[in-house]
Amino acid sequence: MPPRVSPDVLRLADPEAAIEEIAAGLRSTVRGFRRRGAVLGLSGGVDSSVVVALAARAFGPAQVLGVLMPEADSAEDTLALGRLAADAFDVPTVVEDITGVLEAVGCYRRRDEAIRRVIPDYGPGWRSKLVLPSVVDADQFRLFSLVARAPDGREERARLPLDAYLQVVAATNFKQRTRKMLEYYHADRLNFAVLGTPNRLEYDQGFFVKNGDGAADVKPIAHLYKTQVYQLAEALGVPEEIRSRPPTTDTYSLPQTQEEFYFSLPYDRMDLCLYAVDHGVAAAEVADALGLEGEQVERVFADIAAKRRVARYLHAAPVALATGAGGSPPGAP
Amino acid sequence: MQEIERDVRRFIGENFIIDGEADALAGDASLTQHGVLDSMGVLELILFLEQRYGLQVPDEEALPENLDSVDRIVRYAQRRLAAGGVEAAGAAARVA
Repeated sequence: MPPRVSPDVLRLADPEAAIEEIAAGLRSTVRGFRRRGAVLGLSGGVDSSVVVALAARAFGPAQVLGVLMPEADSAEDTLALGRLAADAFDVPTVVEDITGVLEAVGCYRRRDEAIRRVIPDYGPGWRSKLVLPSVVDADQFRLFSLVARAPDGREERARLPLDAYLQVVAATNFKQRTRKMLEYYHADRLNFAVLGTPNRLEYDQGFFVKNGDGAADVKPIAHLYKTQVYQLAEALGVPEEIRSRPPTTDTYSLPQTQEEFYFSLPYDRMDLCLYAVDHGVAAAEVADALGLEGEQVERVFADIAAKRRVARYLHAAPVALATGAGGSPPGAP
Repeated sequence: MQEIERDVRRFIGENFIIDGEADALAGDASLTQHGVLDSMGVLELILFLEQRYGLQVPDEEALPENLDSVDRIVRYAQRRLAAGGVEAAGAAARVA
């Protein structure tokens, strides 16, 4: 009997058919909203590049707007790769440098103030990122540490206490929320809808900011594993430079991989573990397929379950309470 | 021992359990596997131990074997308080 799980189970049998199906879904959904096209933020990553290509296919390039929103901590190639994606599909772009908005709202100041609670020397010229320990290597809690690099190259690492951790995350979330505010500005002025760009892994595991990058009118690739997004990227003709770039968060000032910040394993292995959890495949079988120990995969499964519990809040729409005093809110089902 | 367990159960009940009683939680039940503690909850638990008992929980001790059940938390706090002697006990008294 062949193994029930291998990278092949994630491969789309007919990428072109999947592209047409998504494009048709985008058209009917956006028309149903009585909007005339689509706006999306372009990060230079593969997800937003695939979505801009799908949107161009669905609406025609002139009915799509790509918004490029760099800020002080963005990687140097973010802007160029975002432009590259838009240009590949003839989609017009607008650049909105959000550094000024973030400064005005105190994003960097509030974040740095929290960091100084654990690294008192932290100041101008320093760079930082949040990192998590691996669940694969050892049975341990995944507690965030802050890694900071001084202008002279010296690195410090410290576990963040609760208040500092929450403040760093809260301040940093201004970035995703500011970007979404600008996407909706352009969507409103053009009568377009806003497209979200999470893939299945990100959507399922809560790898987004509520009312930030988690907000959108349509999320056209949220059902696709990241492996499948790469498959569509190739079929759509997303430039190789974007497809070959390792996924990053591009949120903190030091380079940070998605595994350091959130996921237990690189995306292709995470995809397979997520598939296994959803299809009742045993950890031992996944371990064979990935070259890991069974107990390592068990820990990844547990981490997937824990993240799903956290994601429940992130996915929850505002709750309009119905009490005896007023009955159901207007418009409630 | 009993006092620490009562404190820990009260802390868990007040902060992490929406329905049901913290007292009903088996002492050896994994708090993470039962969905009681997530990574944020672990940070809250560490803060509780630091404020309530004056303990500093170093990275190398912030482990499931020390913190992932009521029994383990109690044993860990007891061991650290015993090792810390008068100073730790004094800190506990100050925040009590």
